[in-house]
Amino acid sequence: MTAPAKGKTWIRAQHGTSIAAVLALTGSLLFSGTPAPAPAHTPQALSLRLMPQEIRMWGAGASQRLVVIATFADGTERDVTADTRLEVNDRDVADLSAEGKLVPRNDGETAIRAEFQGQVSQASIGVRESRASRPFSFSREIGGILTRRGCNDSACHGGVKGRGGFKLSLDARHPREDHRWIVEGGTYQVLSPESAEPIRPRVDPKNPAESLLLQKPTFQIPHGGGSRFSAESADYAALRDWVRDGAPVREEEQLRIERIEIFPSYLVLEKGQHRQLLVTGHLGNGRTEDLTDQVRYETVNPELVRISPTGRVEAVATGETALLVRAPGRVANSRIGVIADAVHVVPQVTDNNLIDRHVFSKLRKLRIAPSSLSSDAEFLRRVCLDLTGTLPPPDRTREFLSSTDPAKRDRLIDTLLETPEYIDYWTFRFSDLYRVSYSSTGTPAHSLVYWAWIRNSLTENKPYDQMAFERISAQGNDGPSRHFLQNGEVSRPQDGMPEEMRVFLGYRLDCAQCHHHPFEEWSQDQFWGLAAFFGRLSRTEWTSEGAIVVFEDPAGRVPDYEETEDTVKVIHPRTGQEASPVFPDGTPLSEERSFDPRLALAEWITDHPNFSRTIVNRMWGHMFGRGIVEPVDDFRSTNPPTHPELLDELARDFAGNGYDLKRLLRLIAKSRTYQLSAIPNATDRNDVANYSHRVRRDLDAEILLDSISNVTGVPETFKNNWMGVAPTGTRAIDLRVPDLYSSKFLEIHDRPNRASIPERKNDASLKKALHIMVGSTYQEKIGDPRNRLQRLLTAGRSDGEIIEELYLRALSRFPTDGERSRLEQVAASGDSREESLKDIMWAMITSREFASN
Amino acid sequence: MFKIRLLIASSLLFFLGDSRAVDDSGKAAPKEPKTLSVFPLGGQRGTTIEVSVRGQHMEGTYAAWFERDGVEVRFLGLEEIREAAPDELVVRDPQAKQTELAGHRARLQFRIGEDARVGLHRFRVVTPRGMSNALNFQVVSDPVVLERDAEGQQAVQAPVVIAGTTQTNGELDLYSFQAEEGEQFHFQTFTSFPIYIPYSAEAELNLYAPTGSWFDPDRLLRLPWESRPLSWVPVLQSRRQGWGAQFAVFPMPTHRFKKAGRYLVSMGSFLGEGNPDFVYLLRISTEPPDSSTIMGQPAHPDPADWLERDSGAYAQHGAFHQPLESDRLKVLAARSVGPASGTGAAEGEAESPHEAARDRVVSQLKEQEPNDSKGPEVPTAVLLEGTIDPPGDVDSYRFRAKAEEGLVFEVETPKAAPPQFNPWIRVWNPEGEEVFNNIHFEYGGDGDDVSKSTERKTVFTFQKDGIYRLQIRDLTSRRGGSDLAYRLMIRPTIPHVGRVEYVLGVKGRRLGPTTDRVNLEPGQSKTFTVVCDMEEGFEGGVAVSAENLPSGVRVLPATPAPYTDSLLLGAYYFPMGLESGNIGDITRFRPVRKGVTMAFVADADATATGMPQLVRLWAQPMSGDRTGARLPLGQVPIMMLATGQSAAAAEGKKEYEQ
Repeated sequence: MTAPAKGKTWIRAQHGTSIAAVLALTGSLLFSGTPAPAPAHTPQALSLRLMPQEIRMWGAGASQRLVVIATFADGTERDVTADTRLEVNDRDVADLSAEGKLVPRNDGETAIRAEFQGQVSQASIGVRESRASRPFSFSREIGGILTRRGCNDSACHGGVKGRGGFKLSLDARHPREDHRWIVEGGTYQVLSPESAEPIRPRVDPKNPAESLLLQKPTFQIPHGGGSRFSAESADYAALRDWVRDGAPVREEEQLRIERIEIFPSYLVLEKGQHRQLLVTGHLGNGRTEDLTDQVRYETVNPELVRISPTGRVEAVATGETALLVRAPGRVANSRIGVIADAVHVVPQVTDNNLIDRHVFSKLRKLRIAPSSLSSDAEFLRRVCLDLTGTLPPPDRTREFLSSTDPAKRDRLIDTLLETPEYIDYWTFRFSDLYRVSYSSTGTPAHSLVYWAWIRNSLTENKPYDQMAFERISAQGNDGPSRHFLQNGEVSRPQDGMPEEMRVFLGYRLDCAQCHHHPFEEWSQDQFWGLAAFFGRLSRTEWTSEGAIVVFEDPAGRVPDYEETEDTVKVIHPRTGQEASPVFPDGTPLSEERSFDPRLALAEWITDHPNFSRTIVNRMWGHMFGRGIVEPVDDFRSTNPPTHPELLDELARDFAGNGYDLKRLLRLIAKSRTYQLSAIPNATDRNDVANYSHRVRRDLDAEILLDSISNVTGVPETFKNNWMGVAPTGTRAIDLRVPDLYSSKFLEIHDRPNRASIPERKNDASLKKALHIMVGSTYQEKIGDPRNRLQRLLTAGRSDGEIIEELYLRALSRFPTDGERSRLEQVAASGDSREESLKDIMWAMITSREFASN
Repeated sequence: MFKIRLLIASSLLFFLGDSRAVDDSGKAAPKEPKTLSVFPLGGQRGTTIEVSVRGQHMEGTYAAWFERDGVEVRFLGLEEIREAAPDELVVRDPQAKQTELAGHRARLQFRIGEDARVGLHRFRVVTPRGMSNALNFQVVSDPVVLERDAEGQQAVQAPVVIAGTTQTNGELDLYSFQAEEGEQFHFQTFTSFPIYIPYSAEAELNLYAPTGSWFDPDRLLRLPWESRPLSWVPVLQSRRQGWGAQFAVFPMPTHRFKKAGRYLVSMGSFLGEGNPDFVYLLRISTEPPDSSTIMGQPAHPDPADWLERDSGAYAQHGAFHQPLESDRLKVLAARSVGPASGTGAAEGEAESPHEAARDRVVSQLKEQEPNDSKGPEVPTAVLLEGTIDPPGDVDSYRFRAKAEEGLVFEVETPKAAPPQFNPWIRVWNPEGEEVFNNIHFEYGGDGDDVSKSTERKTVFTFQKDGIYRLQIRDLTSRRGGSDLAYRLMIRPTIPHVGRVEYVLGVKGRRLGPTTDRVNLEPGQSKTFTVVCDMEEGFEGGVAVSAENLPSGVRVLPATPAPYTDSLLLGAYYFPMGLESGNIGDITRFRPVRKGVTMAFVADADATATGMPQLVRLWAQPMSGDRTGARLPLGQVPIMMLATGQSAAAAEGKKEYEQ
């Protein structure tokens, strides 16, 4: 390309734009799963966007990449930068470089104009301090190189233990520590503030080229990480000059990157398409800076998407993945969907509420047509199980299926949310999450009052922030205080604190106990600063099994016989110093709040933006089988949400409406998204993360057992480890302290023991399969002379009536004509009618349809 | 406070393991009669009812015997019953293993006097082989109705006391009652559920509204209780097993009904146990329990029950409710030795500092808010009355102490008590350093057990003169209210004899009785151990005497019981690890204990008494050549049997040897 002429700059198209095929399909065709042929035609740009819209450049070395996006008639967006004519109004202020980047010339204001297919877009330009060079910042300059070159990646020196004795903080998050390891040298030790031998500087200011810091990455001497850059590169020169200048650690707070922003945050590409990303840094001085060429890009799935070191994305295969952008001290992500060549016109579907707006909008971008609305029977069974854990009784199923009321689904949802079964079920769910168990509290009665607090909270539909507040800040001997006990003793701060953070903020901090989190921004200091909020948690007790009182004791936790008063203090393992309560942003707990540190922490947690996101995501995950962030309590920059805007809006809605769990469930259940069918169409068959159709999942152990008991009419007998028996008719979800009651069925089906926060996986296993075939639970209930089948037989019901009853009770639907006919033949064909019907009952409760939802 | 337990059950535990006590001759003793339960568990004053007592080895029962007046009893008959122990009745504690259930049922008629005191009346059945263990019978003032097994939901009319049985594992008994809009109901249970293990067999009440549901028209909706869920309640002495007190889940729940209608309450055991000996009383009333209606309290309190300490480790539960009065110094002096309580000081002998302290006047002061940070200066013989209100309230006082001065800080919580209100007393010296507080911790068990408790009484000797600051608040930083009332006494030390108790036999290392009665044949002996607490520096001794011994029975000193040293530590925790976690003298929180083992010895020609009688034991403080007033030590039921009634139990001996 030739140098641009003054005043006008043209960038010519490098290649022709592919022409997407557009199909005019009807919704019904799409819903039927039939893809239509794709006639080709030339797309016409409907609009144009030049990004960024406001360009601000500070300093002599500044630059700005530009991206031009065209929107076409088929709804797609494409990067047309290479085909766009760009023109800067006043080239004395700014100009385009040979690489197509905007660079400053002189202070002033101007604008840039983009034109493509007759469409025009403009952006304003401001240039300030065009003669000033940027002050040196260790983290920005040196940390930037180490980040961009991957030296401080978690797989290299940024890992937990560093690499080859050389430790760098992940993404240069802790520049002072990095500087120390580079300039002072020494071998990193995980749990010690001391460095091991040999302690030899990695820089040599007298002879910079002999510095290890330069010789290793240029592979002049053996380096496990291979060659990271050449001795001719600009990065080498920058490092060399820094060493020669005495390797200063100057840190300019104003240049620190506070936040990075990626454009676009969500991107849909057709397979084979390219797109340039823009990365903008928001600095400590309030300014912005184009970081597009200063960061490190990673793709979570390189088989779907590739990305160049300068942020150019190439769509390789269909699917959805995320890109990570690493800048010094910060990580951000962007999601990318790659769609097939054939583009469908996605029919408009009615949005029931904000959920549908977000979900269907994304589906349209991905050119996925959502499945059709579920049948009434499918919806009835689903919503009953999801909201109450209970199968609908046959008479209610008949009533619902025969109703012609157009609002019957909404009415049913409202009804279910007010049933005692709703309270039972969500008490069970939250008892799971909050770990109500004998093994946790060490005393069944403690577990009972903890359980009672959960149940009462749900009965009165207590605002969730209040519930969280009560749990985090609990004192005395009421229900929520019991969760601080571990076998009757107050749990250690480093054990208790991460659980609160995970339950209420969705952050998994455990790794940061011993070292900075290997993938996230959580530092070890932050971990121990938070743990110290629990450092005064102590207890008295009135007998060995008695009413333990939890309180804040300046003397700290009760030491056991092997501990001293010193060892119960919260000691930062690396510094060896007693940790004091500090919020993650570095703000220490004020003196006037120090009498009750957890009270302040509870306020901080419930005010935290992720508090609402976390519970919204949990409830979403329960209703859909997959969280918007999945796993539901693993929020991190490297695990981005599939629908961030939806999650944020739901969280805002939740917080703005009294943290009302019922309202949230009602909102979800009434969305069309929730009510979509599990039958996929041609476009959404492979979708697992965008809620285009219901993805069925296995019933949890307790729900499955209760459902079997329900269908067979034989309640389960739960014997506890002492000599007692739960009252007749007690369901598995009603067991208040479940680990008191051993159950072969529940263990086989992976009931969690609640020793840690349960993660239910419901994976298939041989033991489950064997149990279904010959397990005692099935055999005994089917063979029980007082079971439902026997009662139906005794009542003189016909085969058809019995089959229908079983279908309604187990599957919440009538048998199809084919099923009815075939099963009536089965019932009539065996030697014994009773045995044949038992076989039918067995087949029904072991079927996939029954055991999943 | 009320405890949902009955004496029967713990007594039951003592006998479940091995009823063949070995007498001091080393011979296998015959099986003594053993009672398991009485049904109904209670009766209304002024009524005559028939009761049945289930038990074992009750052959020849000819009478029943109440220790005190109020209930007259008539023996109606005895029948044999055979019941195999259900498979589920497998108990972890081998001492509690029950291999067979009751062998007899005695029918008795109880005539409850109009003026019988409300409360627990102890009684025993009497056989030729002696008296049985004690059972308690609750006298109530409300009408009593019996559970009717046939009814799914038995309708009752409040106020009422229902007498029922949780016959089988998993059984729930449902009672329905009418409540009006806004009406508050109070519920209370009292049971004889056996305590096999510490947390089993709690009675559990649940409240329901018959709302029905979309899924099930008969569905009951569980309603939340309004009262606090856990409450510590003292366990009657005869039920203690070394664990000390226990606590109850929702011990006296309440509920105010928002709508008029019929509601249900279910009665069962927390862990779903049940058998015919799980008997209970359930009171349903719109009136809260008071002294005329509360269940589970002894009708005739034991004057020997002296409560001075209160902690989990020390097992003197209930002391936080013990009234502190302005005559406290004199009351304590009466448990010591001195001119006012004993033979008097020798002529010319100067009055001791303790005696001088005894005569000081105790001022009574009520707190004046605001006193959160700097309270008024108060004398060192003072009774301070205040309330932790509003939530988070802290009350401060100042007092002047001299070097080497010993002061005692005692606190009474007349309304809410631990664990609902845990008064935390902290004291700072003039330099602002905390010098002590009333939290004590000690290590025990096998080394990993730690007891940490707020103490009712703290003794502290000051190191230097100055004005000290005292602060009292709840352990939690957020509780408060009118029920968090305290009465805090600061007083000089008064050396005195604290708790004195006797124990029949010693079980392991625990101060736990192996029996609750003495059946003696001529020529036999039974040992008992007396343990005394020497409080606040009392350095004298205690003389033990007995009254009302059967003819031919004497009380003699005996060789010490095994594990006496551990008993003297006075702790639940065993000696292998007991160690104070507090810096300083352990007597800040614990008395010095001393003990003696003695024996009831029957002469060879002692005659049978036919019925039990109560032997009264006394303890008398001694110091130097002076003695103090007699202090009640307890009452021991003793029955002299005819010769051969026990020794002839050859079969029992054979069985024992097998």
